[in-house]
Amino acid sequence: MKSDLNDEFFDLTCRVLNYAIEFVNAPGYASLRLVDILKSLIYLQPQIDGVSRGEFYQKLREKLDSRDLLADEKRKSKLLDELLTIYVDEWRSNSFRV
Amino acid sequence: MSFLDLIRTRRSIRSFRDEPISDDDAERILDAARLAPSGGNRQRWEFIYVKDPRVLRMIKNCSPGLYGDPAAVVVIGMEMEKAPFGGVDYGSVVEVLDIGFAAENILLAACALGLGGCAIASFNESGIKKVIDAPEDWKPILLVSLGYPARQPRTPLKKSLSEVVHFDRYGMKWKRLEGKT
Repeated sequence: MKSDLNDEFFDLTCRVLNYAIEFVNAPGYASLRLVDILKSLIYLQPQIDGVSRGEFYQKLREKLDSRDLLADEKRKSKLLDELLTIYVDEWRSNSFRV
Repeated sequence: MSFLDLIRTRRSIRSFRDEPISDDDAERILDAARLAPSGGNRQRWEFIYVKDPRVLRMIKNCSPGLYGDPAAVVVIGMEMEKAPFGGVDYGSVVEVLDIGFAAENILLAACALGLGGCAIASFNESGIKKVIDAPEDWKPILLVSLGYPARQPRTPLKKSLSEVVHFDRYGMKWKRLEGKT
């Protein structure tokens, strides 16, 4: 399926989030590092021509800024799941727009 | 091709041609899954056949273990039941094994029809549930990607029969298997 930069950026960041979720219960810092990458990408968004959905990425930035780096796994899991819900809602409203 | 040859030649396919699967073939594959054995014939499994590219895209985003762009994905899961002593029953080992049997039927049926696929356990359960609108008490156990293979992977190295088979008692070798690959 052909996609534009907007969709590709969305997919890429969504995948990074899912990788972070995959490692959330694993020992070590893999999940945390992936969230760092996700945050960097989300902060790059306003500087990339062709990547819009500003409101959506702003919502993610606010959520990521509020995260507690030293939060316990349960809270980290909850935060990542909330981020994923924002992604799924955005995907649904864009993909199935009537 | 005989059934045993089919088992020998089936490979896990992780790159696919951009070609749709006919609904007839999809139905045959899902019927093969339906006919798999299950403990006590409970058949607790359910199959969500996804071919909408919009949904496939998001399933892929939520599944680190899903490689390539398959024409379809079967999400196999089951409803959780109330456990007899409180809490929920996420499915016993037997029921999870049943899903494995169904997945193998899917993969073999696909291979018989010239298709290919791969069983995927690395996915974000909560994400998949959100994407397919699954109810709260439904749990995805395994995904199977499906499509026309872009290429046939090489045969992976398999252990010989003599390495994995014991005869009558643990540790006893079966002479007829010695030296066979």
